[in-house]
Amino acid sequence: MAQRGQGWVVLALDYLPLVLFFGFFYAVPILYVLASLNLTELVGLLGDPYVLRLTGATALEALLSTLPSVVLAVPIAYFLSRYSFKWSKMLRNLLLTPFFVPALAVTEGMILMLGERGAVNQILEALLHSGTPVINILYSMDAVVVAHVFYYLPLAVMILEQGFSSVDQDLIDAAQISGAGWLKSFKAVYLNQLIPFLSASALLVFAFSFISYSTPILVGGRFSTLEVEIYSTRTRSVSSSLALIQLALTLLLSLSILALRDRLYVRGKTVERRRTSLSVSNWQGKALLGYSLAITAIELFPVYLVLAQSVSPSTVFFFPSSLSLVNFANLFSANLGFGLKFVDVLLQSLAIGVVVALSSVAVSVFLIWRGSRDERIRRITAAILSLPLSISRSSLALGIMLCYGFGLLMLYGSWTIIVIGQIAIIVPLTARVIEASWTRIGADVRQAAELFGASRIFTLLKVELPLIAPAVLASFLLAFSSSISEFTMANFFSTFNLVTLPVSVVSLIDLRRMDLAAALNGIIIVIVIAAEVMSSFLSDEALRVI
Amino acid sequence: MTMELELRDVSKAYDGTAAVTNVSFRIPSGKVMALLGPSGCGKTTTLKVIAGLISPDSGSVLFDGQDVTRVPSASRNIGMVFQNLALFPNLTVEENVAFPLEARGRDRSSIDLRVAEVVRLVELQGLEKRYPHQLSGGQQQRVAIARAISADAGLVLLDEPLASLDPALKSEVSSVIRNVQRELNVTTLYVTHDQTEAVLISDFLAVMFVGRLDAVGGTRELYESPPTEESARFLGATNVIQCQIESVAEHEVLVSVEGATLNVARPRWWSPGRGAAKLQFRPDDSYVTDSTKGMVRGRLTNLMYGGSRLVARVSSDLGEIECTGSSSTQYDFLSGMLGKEVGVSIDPWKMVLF
Repeated sequence: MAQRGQGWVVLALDYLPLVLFFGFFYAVPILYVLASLNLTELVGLLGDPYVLRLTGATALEALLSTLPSVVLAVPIAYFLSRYSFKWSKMLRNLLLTPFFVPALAVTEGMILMLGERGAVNQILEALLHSGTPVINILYSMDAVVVAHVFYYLPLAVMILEQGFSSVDQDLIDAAQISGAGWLKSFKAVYLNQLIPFLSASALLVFAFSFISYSTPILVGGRFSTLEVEIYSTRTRSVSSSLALIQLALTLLLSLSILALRDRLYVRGKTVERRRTSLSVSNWQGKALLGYSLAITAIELFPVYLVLAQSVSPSTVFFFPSSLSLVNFANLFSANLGFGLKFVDVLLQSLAIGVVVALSSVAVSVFLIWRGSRDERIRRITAAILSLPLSISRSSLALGIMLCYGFGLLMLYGSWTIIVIGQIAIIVPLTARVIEASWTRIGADVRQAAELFGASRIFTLLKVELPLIAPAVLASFLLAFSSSISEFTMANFFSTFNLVTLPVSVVSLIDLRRMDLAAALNGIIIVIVIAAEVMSSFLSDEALRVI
Repeated sequence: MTMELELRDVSKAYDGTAAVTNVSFRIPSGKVMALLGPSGCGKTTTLKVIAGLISPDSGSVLFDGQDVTRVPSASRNIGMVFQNLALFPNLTVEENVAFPLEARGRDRSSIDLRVAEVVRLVELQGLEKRYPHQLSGGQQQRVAIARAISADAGLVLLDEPLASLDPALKSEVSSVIRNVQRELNVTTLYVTHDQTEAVLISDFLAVMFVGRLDAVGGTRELYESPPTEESARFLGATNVIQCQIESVAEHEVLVSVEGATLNVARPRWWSPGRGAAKLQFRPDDSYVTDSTKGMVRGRLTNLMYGGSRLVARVSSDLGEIECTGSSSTQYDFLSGMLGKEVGVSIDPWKMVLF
């Protein structure tokens, strides 16, 4: 009886860190959302035309963003996976760049591209000799959809490339030797193999578009989404009801993604890979190369526009009129809100980034370490850390605001609450990088340490931490870059004297100071890309989790 | 420090499937036992139960008569060479060897002395500052052996230590293992699926099939007169012929094969009986001769030149028989007899009766 009691204590202690983490960062804030619900209001909202329209519009926008992202990605993914040529790695890196650049930068690029005096209208006016803007889609759902396609097409390419790469060349050869034509081979081999990858890419793009926050705020105009409405109504009780609806929907999406990921994992395991590289010398190769180059150039255009705007006082036909650092210099004298200067904002952002990165890495290492000796804890930890993947950030931010901003800790107005919010969304990323590295250590090495008399702490310090050191550093850089470019939590919790770089970018865009916003975005891009590149050198897993 | 190991009725199942059932054996202090069996027979599970890395469902593990079944792995004072070595990749040779000593909190000067001593014993001098990835396969194996013995373990466990090495390295590393064992007089359990390795290195043999021990005994005794047909086959006896038992004496048994009678050794565990029985013998203990000689007659169906030793197959009424012989003296002679009637001579004292 005593032994059974002792067993329960040991079990409780084993799960305690995970329970504390999950409780503090997710469960308690969500419970606060539930506690602040007005049930009559919630029931009324479920049939309310406003909420139905909002949900429908969000889903429609996500669906419209998904279809072109996946369809346009298919030929490029096929090309990158099957064809070999000198600059293929460079092409892949350039194509994927927009996805690794902060969403705010791509969105500002959209404004510079799609605005009335934007690059597209300048080109069309010149081509059509028209004196007035030809397209007028900015500040509408169309602009949100276009921005999402720009941002998520590289994600679809990455996933589909894995799918095409997993197709065994022997199967294609076998189908063709058996007399199957191209179409039959494609259906028998490619389609069967690709369906889970197509579904995964579609589901991920849909989920990310569904919970997108900064893009609808900046280019949506009067078009709103559930995620934005939670923020807009955050001071009213209705926001809790909206958050609950959004949480339920996004949890469903997260679970679907997780289920599909397991299926993908099984497929990946069962497929024997043998690939042959095709040459781009034939007409199909040339056509695919041309298509991929064109899409890459279009994809890079918004990022180029932001960078061109940042290094020039003005642009002429989307080329810098002259190269100058005047925008960066002007940042130092600009008022970034309530007397805050650029240096104040930069220092606040960097300080929050460092604290978030250190805390996220420490929490991740501790959680993964606790789970490393017990398969059951490891699986539960992995599952819990995967759930926030596409969960509504606005809903979580609302919970954190209600709970730690005003309820339990009264932290509203303090930088600590931004740190808490960002840790909640960044730990799932850093933990995956660390877990991937930890798994590679191998059970035998740990068993050897145990057998030779080492305590868990001795093994951690002497063997495990030194072995995962590159992944720890990669996680730190990843967490730092994620914090620097994070907008949802920062926007929820920013006050007149607490502002981060992305919040300042949005303020400057609202003030139509696109030159200063571009300079600020340029700085964020440089910090984020530098951190991500260093991170990818240190760990293969780092860029995959983004 | 060396100790006696005893297993009593150890059983372990995974998800309801038995991995090890009622395994019992004893290794006297300072001796080497080889635990031999095919892949998946439960050898590594047995080894991990002894190491304390997994708990048995029932049965006990005793070190010098003391029950250590529930004692944590770290407190059992054992060393182990893992199948994939499990060297710490971030530590140098000397840091790997020092690991068990540091983990047990020994002082620096005694650690340095012991590391130098063990490095000399496994002949790794000059490589102390290298990392595992800078060493050859054989050198890595020596580091794993050095780490296993550095903390004066009373028992050393070796899990298929030569499995990944080429034949030349196997011979070199097995010689190191035997020398180190003799020098330290440490009790050793050597797990392998290779009967040649097992016989070469051990004082005692335990043969295991599908989670159960099939035979346990002195290596030479078990090799020369295995108690079961399965063990005999696993230890290299591939030929089986039918015979009739005519009479049984204290040390001999008179049997008849194809009308001819002969005396074979009576196995220690064989109980007297009459009627049909089986005789097993190794290819090395038989040779092909002309049809007027030999115990068994048949047709020479196949002849393979195998370098120094040839392999011949004879099809007889008693079944297929495989024989070996010296290529230099017999190959030309036997080439002319391929497809013809031949005789097979078998050394009766090397035949095993079942």
